[in-house]
Amino acid sequence: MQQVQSTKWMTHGEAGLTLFFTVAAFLCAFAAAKALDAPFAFHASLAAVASGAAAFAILNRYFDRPAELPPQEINGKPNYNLGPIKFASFMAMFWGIAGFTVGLLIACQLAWPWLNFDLPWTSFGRLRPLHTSAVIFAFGGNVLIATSFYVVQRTCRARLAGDLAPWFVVLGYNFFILVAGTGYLLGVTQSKEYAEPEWYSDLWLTIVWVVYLLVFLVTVIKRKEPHIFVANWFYLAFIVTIAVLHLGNNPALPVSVFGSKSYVAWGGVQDAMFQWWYGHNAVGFFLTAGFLAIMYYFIPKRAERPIYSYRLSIIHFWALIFLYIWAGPHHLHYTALPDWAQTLGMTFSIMLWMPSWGGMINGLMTLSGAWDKLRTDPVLRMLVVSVAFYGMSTFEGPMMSIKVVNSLSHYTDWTIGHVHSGALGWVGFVSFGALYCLVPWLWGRKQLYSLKLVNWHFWISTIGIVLYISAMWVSGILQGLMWRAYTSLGFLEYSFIETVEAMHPFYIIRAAGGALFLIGSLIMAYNLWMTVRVGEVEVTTPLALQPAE
Amino acid sequence: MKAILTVHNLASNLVTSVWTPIFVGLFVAIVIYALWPRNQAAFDEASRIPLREE
Amino acid sequence: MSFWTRHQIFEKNSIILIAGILVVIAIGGLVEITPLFYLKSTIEVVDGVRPYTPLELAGRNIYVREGCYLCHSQMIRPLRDEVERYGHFSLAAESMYDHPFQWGSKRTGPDLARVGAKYSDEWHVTHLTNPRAIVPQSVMPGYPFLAKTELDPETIADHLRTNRAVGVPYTDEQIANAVADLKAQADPDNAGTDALTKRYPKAVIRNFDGKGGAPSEMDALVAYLQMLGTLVDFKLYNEKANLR
Repeated sequence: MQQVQSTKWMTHGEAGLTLFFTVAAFLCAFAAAKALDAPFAFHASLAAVASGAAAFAILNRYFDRPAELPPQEINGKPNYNLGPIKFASFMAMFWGIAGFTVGLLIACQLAWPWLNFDLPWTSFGRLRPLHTSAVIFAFGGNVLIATSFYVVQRTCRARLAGDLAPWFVVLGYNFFILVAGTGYLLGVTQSKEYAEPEWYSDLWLTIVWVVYLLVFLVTVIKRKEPHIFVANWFYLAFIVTIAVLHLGNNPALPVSVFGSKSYVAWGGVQDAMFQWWYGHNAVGFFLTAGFLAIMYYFIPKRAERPIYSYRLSIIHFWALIFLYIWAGPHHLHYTALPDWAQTLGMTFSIMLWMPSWGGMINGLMTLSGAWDKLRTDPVLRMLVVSVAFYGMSTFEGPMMSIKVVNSLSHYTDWTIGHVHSGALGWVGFVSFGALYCLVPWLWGRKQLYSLKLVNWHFWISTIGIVLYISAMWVSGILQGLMWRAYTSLGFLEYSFIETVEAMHPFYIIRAAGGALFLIGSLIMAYNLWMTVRVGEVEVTTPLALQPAE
Repeated sequence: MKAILTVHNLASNLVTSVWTPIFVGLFVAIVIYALWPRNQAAFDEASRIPLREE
Repeated sequence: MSFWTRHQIFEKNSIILIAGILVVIAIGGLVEITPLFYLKSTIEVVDGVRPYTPLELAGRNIYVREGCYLCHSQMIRPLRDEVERYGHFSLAAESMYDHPFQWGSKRTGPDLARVGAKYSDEWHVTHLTNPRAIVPQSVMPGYPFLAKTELDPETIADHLRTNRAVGVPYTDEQIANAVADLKAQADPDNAGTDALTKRYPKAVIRNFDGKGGAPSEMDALVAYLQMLGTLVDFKLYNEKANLR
């Protein structure tokens, strides 16, 4: 392309990143050569190839692009950067389906153990972290990055900060997921729940996360809208706190810088406390604060009604992030953790019920004056039902954190039922609702390909969730009661294997519920694909559209 | 490790002793700020931000 | 007030917002985690707990690699039925050298905190290779490859050294003889068995996987499983002194 105006200069970002990636490519190749174990060699060569490709892509883009970078505004309107958001939305659906499929497989493995195939790469022990990381960090993470980049631009009326930075965040994050996921199958894990990736993946995630915080924060700082909208507080709390939790829970010393195995700095009871301070707040800030931000933008937007009580959101925001941090020890009731810590955890978990329901009330009551839309708009119905599930699981949580209830529920399937009422009901549905809103806006389509399909997705997935949760409630409470049952003669009534045997029918029902949820997400993928492929292009151009990437 | 723990201990002593009253005051201040009538207009305006079509 | 100064106030707001968030979230963590490091009562005073022998540590790494903590807990709670089913409730001291801890959060399978010396080595080897051969209703995956995979003893010394760096009291002598100790523990008629027992009191020395030759991953895992919960002698444990 012939540039006419001033000569084209490489930006600091482009030059710096190209240099960084070229050096990284050589370092990774060197590390791959000196690797002590096969998984590390595989990951190092993967990183070398990715770094090389990144350097090449940046140079390639430099030669293709016009002299000036995309302008901040075009005739007065902010020139929103939608490219990275499209990529993250696509990856969210991709990883979502992958994560649900792995979830279905491991559910079936519990019902029919021959499905483990007695191979190292297919055993439940290595597939379960793949499932949890895929649905939480891959699916949830990409939804959060996509929606946070979209919402911060729209509510600040400013273009996303950084030229290459947003792409670095989106691509870097998905590379982290690739390395973590393949690592699990090769046996690379720290065995800390929901923090299983090994030391080099953690380091890479830290770099990507700092850039993510900077991109988000600088966008907020250069905003045109004076007031920082509530969704951005929640996104900021989510990004900042996850950084603190990640750094607090993952300090580990590798046996060798050319090996994948590392030993965590904390040990025993202190490590238990650190782990569940992180573990519960990964739920509190990743799966709650982040997705409350989505609720605070997409429900008002879809219902075309202002937030019910902005004042309530101020109070509930500060109360939620203060209280959530304390709740970790309810994962360690009656363990070797000192009693004072357990009681603190329980007390704050019970108090946590109030700010959680404050959020639910604010979300639901935003529908006042628009309740009829629930009959006609399945996307809004999905968003609202997700808030209902949020209310349900944040009521069940505080109840389960009471020590005497926990003595029955701990280690049983009841916990799994609670997790999935929050994961499928709240996180899943609010993400689906947000993606159903986002895809037409991002690709400039008038509306979704088919609302009927959204309805099918809604009902199939809801039945799936109900099957899943009720099966786990029944099996969990049955398990807990059987473990503690005594015969009239004062002997333990059941051997452990009898309780495992009793779980079999519920494992099948749970697998069926998971299958329905997966089918629902496949319907959604088809619907979104057709929206982009066949959807009618928006005639008026409300915002300066990006040239199709 | 030692340095982290000493800093941690100092902060933790501070927290467990003097912070609780300060924190209750902070929370009450937030509630008053949120419910203060004068800010009412600004908040109503803020709650409509997503609905504004540029 | 010119546009610039007005904007600066809002600019500071986002920094104040982050500072506020950091302060508010720091409180909970500080109050709950830090005391565990300096309160003496956190970990019980008990003798018998010792760092893992090289073979046990190798077995523990396999336990971690295969994700056994996802279905098995290692934490007996002080509840009547658990103490009767599994044994004395677990002490914090028993996991003080675990980096990371393996308490677990789900019991798809039974608790393993005191599985040590409860079953024979042959039971473990057969069960690990094909769980349903011994327990027909079991949902546990089979691990036949463990018996067929040899351990790489050469790097075990580095593992001990790294453990010492994160706080486990391995002595120089233990690190220097790590490879020899590892081989000795799986081979009763090895010359180094007495030196091993001297370095690691009450270390169990047996041919765990029932096959001769170099130690296999099965040797290591069974050695680890057989020592779980056996280090503390509860007849001597002074319950009263450790009430907290």
